Amino acid sequence: MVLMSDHIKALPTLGVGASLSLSSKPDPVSLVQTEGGPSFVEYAGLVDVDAIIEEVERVRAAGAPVLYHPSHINFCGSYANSKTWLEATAQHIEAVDSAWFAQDVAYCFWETGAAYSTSLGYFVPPIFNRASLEKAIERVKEVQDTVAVTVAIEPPPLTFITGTMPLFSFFGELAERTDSAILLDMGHLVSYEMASGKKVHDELAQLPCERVVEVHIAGGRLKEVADGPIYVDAHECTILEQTWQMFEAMLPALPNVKAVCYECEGVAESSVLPTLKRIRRIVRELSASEALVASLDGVV
Amino acid sequence: MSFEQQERVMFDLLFDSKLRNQFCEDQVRALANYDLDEAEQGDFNTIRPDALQLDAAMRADLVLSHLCKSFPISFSIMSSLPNGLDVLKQLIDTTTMTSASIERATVFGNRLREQYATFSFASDKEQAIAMAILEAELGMAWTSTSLKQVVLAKGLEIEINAVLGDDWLEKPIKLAAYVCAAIIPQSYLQLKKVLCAVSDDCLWRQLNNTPLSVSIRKKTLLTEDPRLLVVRGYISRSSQCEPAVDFKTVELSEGFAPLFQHVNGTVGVAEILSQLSQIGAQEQMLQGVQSAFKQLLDYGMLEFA
Repeated sequence: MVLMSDHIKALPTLGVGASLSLSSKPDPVSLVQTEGGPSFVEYAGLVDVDAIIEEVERVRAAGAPVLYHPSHINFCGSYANSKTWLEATAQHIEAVDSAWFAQDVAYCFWETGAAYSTSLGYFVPPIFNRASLEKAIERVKEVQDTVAVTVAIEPPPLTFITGTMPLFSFFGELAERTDSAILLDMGHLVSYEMASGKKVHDELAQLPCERVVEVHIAGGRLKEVADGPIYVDAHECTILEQTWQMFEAMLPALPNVKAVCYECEGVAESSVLPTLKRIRRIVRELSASEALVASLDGVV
Repeated sequence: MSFEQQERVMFDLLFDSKLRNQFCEDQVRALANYDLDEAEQGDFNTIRPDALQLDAAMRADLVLSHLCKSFPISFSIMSSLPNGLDVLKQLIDTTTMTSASIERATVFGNRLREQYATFSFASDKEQAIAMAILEAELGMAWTSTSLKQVVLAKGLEIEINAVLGDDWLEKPIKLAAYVCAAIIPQSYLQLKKVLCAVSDDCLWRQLNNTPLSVSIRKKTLLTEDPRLLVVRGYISRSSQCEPAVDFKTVELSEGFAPLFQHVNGTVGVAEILSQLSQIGAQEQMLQGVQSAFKQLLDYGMLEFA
């Protein structure tokens, strides 16, 4: 196991925050200013920082740091990222002072031309084999060469699985060989279990847990199909019981979590605060990250 | 070993319904034409066929919800035709999806035009009207693509419209770049109001839940108040990554269309008005024509040669 680098240890602890759309409900500024609101705001935005900087500045002026979490980087596969888009991403991150840069490891565009994952409908997941891992290492390093902050890689939502390499073997080796941090989305882990029939806890030994700096929890839907349920990411929906269980099971194994993010774009404002409260309660009770728990002192 | 071949297989499984259906029945036979060794082929054994079908359907749905914004009225009309929504879904295939994202709307729109020609409308007239609307929407998509390509290649800046001088009537005029025009049966905004019940963002979902009724389609398309729709694309946000294009639109009476033939860079508005006067046009009509030309110049749809 490769030792975790100082740059990951040194990342700031951001507490329990929310992923929101900057220009629609629930309003990020209003939530940040409410007691028990998010301590940071994460957003998926356009690559050009000029397009969103005014809205981001409103959030920062309200007292919350922001994390940029886009969906236009190919962190896997044969198709290289555009230098122009990478440079714009780096400028974006610097301008909004995002403490790290995390995105799902997936295909956002195919062959020629940079684009958002919406160009493919949504993320196309990587093939889980060794050749694919080598390509993913190339892609992550390509981003690291341009982006100044720590890169965090995230297992994507998985409707289906291609390849036989276990999820945490793939991501563990990818993180160590690129010296990246890791973001774990609890719903995505549930999706992996349903699509593969495997249990992430059986693979936990392959995951460099100390590299996990961020945890996501979000709403989802189950689609019943012939061979059992399939998890579908749906941030506007309520958090499924399986996702809460995954959250409770994973937190004790992750000693270095700096941020827990409730992805709640499109969720009614009235239900965001109670959910944040529940997340904080679970963090206090179960998180192995002392810094994260300490960051909740005095917060409802 | 060919990882690139594996990537090709994965893409084709997502966007080639024939291959996907074959794969769900017999994986080995479906992948026989790809250059994969046993281990590479074995990587696809982990795919749950039911999950793959679900994924592909959701993916096509999301791509269509995006494309629907470029062709709102045409999508709405399609939803009222037998199997119209299925045809739209079938167009999300490897041909559409291998096109560069910046060109995808035009690639898709051209293919949709081919499909339109094969549908049975209530009458030839109705079909021609539906086609004219699609041509207008395709013109806007094409203009947007062209403009973005130029900006990405040359870094075009947002332009500021020129102020017309006192002598504007005398100067020869020509059609500006990134302008398209089409004759449509009614005002585009009015058509959209009647045929698209919700905003562009929500339209695809709405049409799947509640397709446009045949009676509303027939009634609307055969209500005639024809207009010349003139649209000019312009860069609303310049960028080296994703320039944003917006449109200025002007709707003129259908009778204005023949005057466009004189807009060739050699004559000015005054000369066109003089010719109209010589063939007996009344003062009120001449004022209307002059006003329309001024509007087109103000909006940058015409420019001085």
